[in-house]
Amino acid sequence: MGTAGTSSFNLGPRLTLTFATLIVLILGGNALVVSQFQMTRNETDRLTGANQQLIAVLRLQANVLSFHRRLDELARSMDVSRLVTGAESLRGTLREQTQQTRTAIANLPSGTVVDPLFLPTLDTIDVALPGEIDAIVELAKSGDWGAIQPRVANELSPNEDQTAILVDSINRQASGELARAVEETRSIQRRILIIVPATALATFFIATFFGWSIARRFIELRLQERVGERLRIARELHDTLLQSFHGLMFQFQAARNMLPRRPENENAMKVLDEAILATEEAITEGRDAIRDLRPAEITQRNLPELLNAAGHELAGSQELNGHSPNFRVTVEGKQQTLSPMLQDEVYRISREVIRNAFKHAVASRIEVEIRYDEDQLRLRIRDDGKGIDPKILKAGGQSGHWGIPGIRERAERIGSRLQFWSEVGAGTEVELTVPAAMAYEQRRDGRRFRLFRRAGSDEQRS
Amino acid sequence: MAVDSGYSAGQVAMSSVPSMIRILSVDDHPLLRKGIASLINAEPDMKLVAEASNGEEAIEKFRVHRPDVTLMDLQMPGLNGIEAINHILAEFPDALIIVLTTYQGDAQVLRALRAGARGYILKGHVHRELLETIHSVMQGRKRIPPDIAEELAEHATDEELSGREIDVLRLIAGGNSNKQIADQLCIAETTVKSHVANILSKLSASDRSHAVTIGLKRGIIEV
Repeated sequence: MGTAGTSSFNLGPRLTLTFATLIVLILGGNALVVSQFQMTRNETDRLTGANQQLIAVLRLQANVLSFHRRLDELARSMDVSRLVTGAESLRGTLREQTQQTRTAIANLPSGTVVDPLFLPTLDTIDVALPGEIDAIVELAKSGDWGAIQPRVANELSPNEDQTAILVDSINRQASGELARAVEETRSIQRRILIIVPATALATFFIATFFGWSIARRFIELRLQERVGERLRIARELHDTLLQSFHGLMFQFQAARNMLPRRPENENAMKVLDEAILATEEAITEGRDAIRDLRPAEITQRNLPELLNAAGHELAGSQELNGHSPNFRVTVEGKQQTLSPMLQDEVYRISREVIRNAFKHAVASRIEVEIRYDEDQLRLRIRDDGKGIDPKILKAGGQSGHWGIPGIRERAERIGSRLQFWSEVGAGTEVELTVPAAMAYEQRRDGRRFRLFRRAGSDEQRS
Repeated sequence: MAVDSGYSAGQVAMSSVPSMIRILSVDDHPLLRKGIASLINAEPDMKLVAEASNGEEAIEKFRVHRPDVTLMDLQMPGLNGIEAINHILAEFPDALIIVLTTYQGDAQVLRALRAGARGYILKGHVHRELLETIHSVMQGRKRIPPDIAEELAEHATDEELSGREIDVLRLIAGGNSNKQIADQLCIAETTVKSHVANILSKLSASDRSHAVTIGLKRGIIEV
């Protein structure tokens, strides 16, 4: 009740927590997906590195072979001057090519494992092949052409073999990387396929709960506002109108007291007596109306107690007319504490329905059945009276009689459902159902948080 | 606000018309005071000498006019009725004060009687009972309407709630839990529990909400 006057929209700790969870979930889910992409990128880098190394070593092998072929060609030409100039250009080409290979290796993507034999092989080529060129040029200058041919064949082939071994090793490494990358990419794909729907699902649940809670909070605040307003009106009426009525009544009485008891005054006295009685009645009615305006929760009683009291009060006033139906309230299921604002509304709706039954139904029995279900609160109010004409029901109730439109409006405002069944001569049954999350004060938290936990564990598993 | 007339000013009036009962009316609502003024002034043996709209004003007017009878509302802004009664009686122990109120409940009546009120009338019955009550009080009798007397008698032997227990009951009515009550009163939760147990037994209440209902009905706490 203390918050009845709240004017600003206060989100409340539960909603704030939910909102925070929602944000964390969205950010966390996205971060997980991004990390998976990062892993894919690392894999691609390794694969690229292995491939580039393979390309570099294959190019080296081709260069070594073409060097061999060219040198062989020059050796067969038996022309010293041609061999000398050719050898010079070969030396230059070789230096350039090994330098290119070194650059290529240095520029491999970080994290690429360079084959341990690669650099020693390059060094060997760098040292041995120019030496070979020098030796062959010397032999050619001395005219020993016979020794050149076998020398080319014997001295160059170890280099070729070494390069071939290197190619083989690097090729194996690249194939290994490829297989690994394929495997890794597949598992990343699988992980993403789990993470994305799980995050989406959890986000969906919490977002639904969040939206739902906000809607509920809005209704709650609106009810609070209405209760506050009613309380204010009640106080106002009590402090002004009722006091004024009292004052007027005293004045009537004063006028009545001033009249001397004489036959010619009899009529005036009668009129004043009637006015005094009417004012007394007006005050009683006013006080009842004010009591009705005050929220029922102020008495801190539960719904069955409230409805019982209301029914018996109505039965009491009916008794004066010589016709009083039998009134009974039954409770099914484990009684729950209702959210106070909601209880007030449910009480007012039910009381109106019960009042209708007492006033119009000419029933011999009126029953209220309150059922606390897991998923909803259900009230059934039935009588065995004369029933309502379906046409009137359809038209939304006779104006001035069954206040059906008013009750319906009330029911809609608290997100509940109101249904009427009636036949002429067969009584009336009215059912009011309110979803559990809307109706119950304590239980809804437990349930929601269970849902939270379930969504949360999904998240962790992925 | 006051309807002082030269005629009724002070002791002079007393001596010149000795049979007149001089009355002070205290209520914060003008139309209600007007009604009471009409009722009283219609009587040949009564005279309204002053009106006040709150407790402070009531004390002032009492000092000036020394009325024979004071009609006192309980619920007023500023100094309330009970406090005004206490002040006036401390200064003028022989003052005759009648409480006029809309509130029922034995605790409220008891509080007024303890403060020293001689009569108690519900506003709904004032037009029928006021004159008679004034006369009775003037004759030195105390007067309480029969239905209120009945309620008083019903609870006469009950053990009363202590001030602290009333505080706790008021907080229960405000929808507070034991923990919240303990925090607000700066006492231990176990102490609150024992207060609650005492309240339930003293009021013969079945549970907390029942205790609040009884408390409101008997005027131990107010809405």
